[in-house]
Amino acid sequence: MYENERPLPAVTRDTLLRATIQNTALMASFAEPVRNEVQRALVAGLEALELEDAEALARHHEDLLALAAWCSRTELAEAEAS
Amino acid sequence: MSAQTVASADAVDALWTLLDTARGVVEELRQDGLLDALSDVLGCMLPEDREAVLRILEHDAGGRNQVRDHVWSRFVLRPNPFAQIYTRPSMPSRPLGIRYLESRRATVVGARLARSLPPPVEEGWEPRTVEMWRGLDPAARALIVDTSRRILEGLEAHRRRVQGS
Repeated sequence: MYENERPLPAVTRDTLLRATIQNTALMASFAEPVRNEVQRALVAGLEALELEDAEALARHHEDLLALAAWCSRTELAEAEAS
Repeated sequence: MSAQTVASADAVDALWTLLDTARGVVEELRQDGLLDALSDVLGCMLPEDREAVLRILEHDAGGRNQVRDHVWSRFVLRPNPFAQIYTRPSMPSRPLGIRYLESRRATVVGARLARSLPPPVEEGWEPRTVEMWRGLDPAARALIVDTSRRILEGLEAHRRRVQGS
């Protein structure tokens, strides 16, 4: 929600990751047409980004995919060990 | 007065036509109340958001053309950028709603937040972040991974376009 003079929230690498995880996971509960529309809009929004913003967003999503991969490997190792 | 300072009749005609067209557009927007509405909307935003939102509008306006109930998608042909093809779906297009616009804004805000972070130096993640991921069901995990991959593909295409232009 917009509020005048309200600064953007201060984030850390992990709070931003958790916000993305939480918000995207919420999309799983949307009806498929709504989910598709939101995904389409998220991707379309990339067109308007400055290069520095785009690079920062890429680092964020690469970090998120690295987290997902690390968790998968860890869970697999735990399953094999038990 | 020297000859160099006198504009030709053709140039004056062209300027007059341009000004008349611009005046017509502004008058049309004012009559519809759209100009005031646009000013109000921009006035409600954080000052630093205005340019990003205008870039989105410019991009959408450049790529689409609304003809009655149909949204026509424009394809710009190379090497002649002035040659364009418009296509339209056979069914009337539903106008894009606030949900679409808010989602697009989320991309801009998210990128700005990501840019505000210091360069990554730490390995690994906070336990709370790992726990959140491990608490997700498989469908949510798949959706998140799919969305991130699509965004990365879009960013790579954007990077190529920006660096190629």
